[in-house]
Amino acid sequence: MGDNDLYQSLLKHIGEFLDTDVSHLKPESHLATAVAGLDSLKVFELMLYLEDVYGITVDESAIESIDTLRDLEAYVRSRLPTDPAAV
Amino acid sequence: MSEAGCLRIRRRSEVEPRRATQSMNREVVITGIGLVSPIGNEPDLFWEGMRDGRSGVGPVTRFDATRFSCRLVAEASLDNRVPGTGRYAHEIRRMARFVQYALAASRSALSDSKLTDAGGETPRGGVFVGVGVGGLPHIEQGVLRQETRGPRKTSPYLIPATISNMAAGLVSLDLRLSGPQMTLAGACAGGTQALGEAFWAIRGGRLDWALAGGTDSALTPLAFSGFEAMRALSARSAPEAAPRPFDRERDGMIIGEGAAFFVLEERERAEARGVRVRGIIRGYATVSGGQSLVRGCPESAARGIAAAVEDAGLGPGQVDVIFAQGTGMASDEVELATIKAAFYDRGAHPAITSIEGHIGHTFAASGPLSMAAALRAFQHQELPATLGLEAVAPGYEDLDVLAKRRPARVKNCLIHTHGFGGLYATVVCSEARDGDAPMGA
Repeated sequence: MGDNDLYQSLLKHIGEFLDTDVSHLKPESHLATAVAGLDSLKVFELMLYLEDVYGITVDESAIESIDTLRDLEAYVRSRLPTDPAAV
Repeated sequence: MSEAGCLRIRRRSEVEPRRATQSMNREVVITGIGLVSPIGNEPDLFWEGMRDGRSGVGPVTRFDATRFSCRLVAEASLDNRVPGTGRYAHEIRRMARFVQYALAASRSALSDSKLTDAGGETPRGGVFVGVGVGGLPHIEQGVLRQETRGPRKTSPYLIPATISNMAAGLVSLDLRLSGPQMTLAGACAGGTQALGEAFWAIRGGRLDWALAGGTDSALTPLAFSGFEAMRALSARSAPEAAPRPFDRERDGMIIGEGAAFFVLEERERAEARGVRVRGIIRGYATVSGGQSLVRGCPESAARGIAAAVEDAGLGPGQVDVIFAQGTGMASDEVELATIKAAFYDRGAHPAITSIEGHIGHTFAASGPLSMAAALRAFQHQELPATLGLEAVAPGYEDLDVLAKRRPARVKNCLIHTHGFGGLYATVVCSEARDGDAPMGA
C-alpha cells in the first residue's frame, strides 16, 4: 500500500468510525485536538476498529506515542503484514 | 394473605418519618411528557392505542426465539430519533437501549414542557430515573463477544453502556443539567419510585423542578431463559392471546420495553413560565414486605397504598381508578388482594385497569407509562380497558376490573407497582385544576 493510499484509507476509516467529516485533517494534525470529542474511550475503540480493518494488532504501549495522524499512519504501516496481498 | 411476615396497615407517620421533617408543602405539577412504547412514541398515539385496544405484542424479531416456549414480545422502536444527534451522538449509539430510550423520552418531555434550554436552568433541578433490568442485553452481547473474539476485543464502552446510572448520567450530560441525578434500581417499581422521590424533593423545597421517569429494555435471550426458568412468561403463541392481566386464564407475562419521563415542577414556577399543566402529583409512598424473593404480600402493599393516599390528602373513596401492574403472572392475584384490602374492604370501589395487555411488562417503565395513560384519562375523561381480560380471577369477580373502556369522571388516579424483593411504590396523581391551561393547548 503506497504512502498516500494508506493515509487516504486511514482518513476514510476514521471518518466512518466517527461518522463525521474529517477531510480537514492533515498529516500533522494532532488527533487529540483536531478531532472534536476524541476522548480516551474513542481512541481505544478506534484502535480496535483499525485492528479489524487492517488485520493488525495494536500494542497497548504504542497508543500513548501516537500523537499526530502521521504517527498513526506510520504505526499502522509498521504493523501491516509484509505481504501486500494480505492487506 | 395473612402469612407471617406480612405487616398490618400502619399510618403514614409510622412509615414515612421523612415527611415530618419537610418544612414546605408545595404543589407539584406535571408540565411535560415524553415516552417510548411498543404502541407509539407520542403520548397521543400511545393513548389512542390504549383507547382502541391496540396491542404492541408480536413475534420476537431481535433474536431467534425458537428455543424458547415464549416467542412473543412487545418491542419498541426509536423511529431513528435517537441515537445520532447531539454532541454525545457517538456515545449514544453505543449505549444499551434503556439509556437510549431514557434519552429519547427525556428530550420529548423537555420539549413538551418548553424547557428548550434545560442546561441554562437553575441547578435546583434534578434527574430521577428508575431502572430495573438495565443493561442485561448489552452484558450478554459483551460476554458472547469475549468468548468468540477474546477479552481484548471487548468494547471500551461495555461498562459505561450497561451500568444502571448511565440513563440518568447521559440525560444529564446531553441536556447539560447541573443538579443532582438519582438512579433508583427498584426493579419494576423503580420508575414509580423515581416519580415519587422527585415529587417529594420538589414538594419539600429541596428542588424546584425535575425530570423523572423509568426506562427498561430486557429483550435478550438471557432474560427469556431467566424468566422462563421462573415460569414467568406466557407460552401462548398468538399475539392477540397474551398477556391476560387479572384473567383467570392468565399464564404469564409478555416482556415489553420502553420509557416514560415527565417534567415535574413547583406550581408557581410552572405558572410563571406560562406552560400548560397536564396534571398534579399529590401523594407517594414506597414500602417493603414480601412473602419471598418474588411473592408479594397484600398487607404490606396495601399499607403502602394507604400511605400514598393519605400523603395525597385523600381518602380511599376519592381514588377513581387504579392503574395496577397486572403483568398476567400469578402475582396478579396478590395485587387484586392488595386492592381489595386497601379499598374494597374499606368501602371504596375504584375501577382497576392495567396497560400491560397493550404493551407487555416494561419493568421500571411500567409505573411511568401508567402515569402517561392516567394523564390522558384525565384529559379525555375515559378509562382504558385491560386488554386481554375476559373473566377476572376467581374470588375477585366483585372488583371493578375494566374489561372494556368506559367514560368516567376521572379526578384522581393511583399508580401501583411492585418489584421483586418485596418492594412496592405508589403514586397518586390528579387532574389539573379548572383554571389551568387546557391539555390540548
